[in-house]
Amino acid sequence: MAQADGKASGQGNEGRNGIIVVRELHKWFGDFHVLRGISMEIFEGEKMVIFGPSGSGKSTFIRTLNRLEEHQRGDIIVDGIELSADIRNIDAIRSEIGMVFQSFNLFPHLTVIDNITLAPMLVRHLSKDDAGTLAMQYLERVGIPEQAAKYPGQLSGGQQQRVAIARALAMQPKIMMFDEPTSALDPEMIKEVLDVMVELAESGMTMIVVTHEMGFARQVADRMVMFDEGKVVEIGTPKEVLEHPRHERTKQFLAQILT
Amino acid sequence: MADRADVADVADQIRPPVASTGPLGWVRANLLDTWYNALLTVAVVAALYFLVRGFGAWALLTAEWAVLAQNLQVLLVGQYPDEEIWRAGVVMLAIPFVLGLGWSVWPGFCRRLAISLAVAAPLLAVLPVELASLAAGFRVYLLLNSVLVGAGWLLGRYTVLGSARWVLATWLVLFLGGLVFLRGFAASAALPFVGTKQWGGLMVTLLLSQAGIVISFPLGILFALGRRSSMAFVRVFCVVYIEVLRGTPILALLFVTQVLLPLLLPDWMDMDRLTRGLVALILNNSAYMAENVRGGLQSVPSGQLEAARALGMKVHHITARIVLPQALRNVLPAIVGQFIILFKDTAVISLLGLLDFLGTANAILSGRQQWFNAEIEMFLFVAAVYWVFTYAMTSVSRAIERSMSKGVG
Repeated sequence: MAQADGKASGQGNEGRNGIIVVRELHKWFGDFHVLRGISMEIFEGEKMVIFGPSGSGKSTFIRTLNRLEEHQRGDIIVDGIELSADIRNIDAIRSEIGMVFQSFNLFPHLTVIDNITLAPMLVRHLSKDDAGTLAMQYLERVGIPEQAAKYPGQLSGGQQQRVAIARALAMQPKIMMFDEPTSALDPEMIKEVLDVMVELAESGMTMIVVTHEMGFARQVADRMVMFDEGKVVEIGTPKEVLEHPRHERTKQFLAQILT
Repeated sequence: MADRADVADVADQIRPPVASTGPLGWVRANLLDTWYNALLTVAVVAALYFLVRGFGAWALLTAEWAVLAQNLQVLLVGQYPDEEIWRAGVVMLAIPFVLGLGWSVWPGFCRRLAISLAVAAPLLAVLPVELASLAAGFRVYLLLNSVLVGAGWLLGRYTVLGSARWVLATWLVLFLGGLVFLRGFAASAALPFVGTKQWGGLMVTLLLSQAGIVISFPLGILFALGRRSSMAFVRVFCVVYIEVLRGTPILALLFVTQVLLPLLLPDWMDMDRLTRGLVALILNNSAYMAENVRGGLQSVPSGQLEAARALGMKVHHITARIVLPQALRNVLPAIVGQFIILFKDTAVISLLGLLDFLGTANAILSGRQQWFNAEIEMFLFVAAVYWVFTYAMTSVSRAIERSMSKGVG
């Protein structure tokens, strides 16, 4: 585990401050011990792919990072802000992290453009015009500016997920988290969403992605993390993890999903 | 390849089979398809015939409709003094005006209502019936209704008033202003004081139900939200409020407020009997409204909250902009149903001798020997008027549902 001393320079991660630092994170749902001591550091600009069997705690883990779930033990520090019960810290951290969900979670009663402008207007206090201009920029970036006036229910799943990405980006976060962004999509729509994510990765965004799209992981990830039973089983570059997994559990799991 | 193209052409031309064979075919297929259906049809048609004939004969030959024509003013505004009656007339004109405004903003569901009123009013005005004392003036007044629907529509169309926010604000201002205008001021010569004891008739029913809706709807939302609050004190208070008031008959509440409120409230807050009746209606209705809204709150998926939280939105923003709009949409039929119940429930205050529409009708019947036997005519009319208003409310509710299902898939 890299200790933060903040003075080092250079290309490697060693000695750099992680933009997200997690130490000995524990979480219980009632008596069920979901996260059992996760420690991890994610660096600015890094793309981290998290995978593992269902129930392994990977979604819960990223949801603790922006306090959608409360953790009971351990530390989470995002961009120097310690995540605690203090509502100001929570708000500060949430404005640094954009999140994209498996089930899109667009607001069905608002048009696409209103979905995107709402939070920048309420949270960042942008004017309606500024927020609208910003929203159109991001809609163009995800390739569907012509859908701005429609309601989410009128769009395909792939289009909805791209709107969700634009909505998160419009808050201009430093970090983007994706919780199985393509799992709820029909097969022919997965690519259009992954393309947007690849483009985003190439732009230098820090990304944490929970996914089983191994092609995407190989192409984009700097590091991959295998979760099982609330613990990190294996962590390394895609080449290390996918081609030379060290742990039996990783081998088993990869064998199942890669066939 | 050519073959295939032909097949495709033919397939394109296939239409679904024609389902109907005209009205006669429909009658044969639905009413006379088996011997027992045929028998049932004959029996029902016969029963309808005798019912309509019997009612028609009674309505045209026997019935004494004079009870309505001669008491129309009292049925509409109660004992409001004759020389001040114009005030009631002016206040009631807010209805066509706001409907006209609404038409310009929500053509989907306000248009039919506005047009119905604009058409019905002149029709009533040319009705060849003697309307007692107010004949000529009243006919002009009815025509004014149509004019104001048009004026409202034009204003909404071409000025700033044409937005949902402004229509609601206009309605609220006209409503509150109307109350003050009706009541007047003790020291004023132009608008002398007219106490609620002298108010009555349809006017009181409409004012009561509007005030009831305007107050108990937001109260219901607050109690529904409070019931989900994380603060135990707030939650317990809301649960107790809702459960106690839902478990109390409205009539009992009515008596309780009449007797208890004067004892509980300080002198300067003393209310007249009508207002105390309104308090009972609001207590009862806000509790039911809270339960309806709670159903709506539960129907909003947790993902909506999570998305809003992840975007950094604050709790009050999430509630006002994300949760409530969806929750209220999802239970709109139940909410309008509750409005309708409130509208009809206002009639219970007549049991205290207060003069709402039904109470006024009762008072007229028992007031003079001449009308002792006119109960059927009177109550048919009262029921018909209630029905017209509730039907208008349900049709608006259905139209809103239709317009919403377009936007939200």
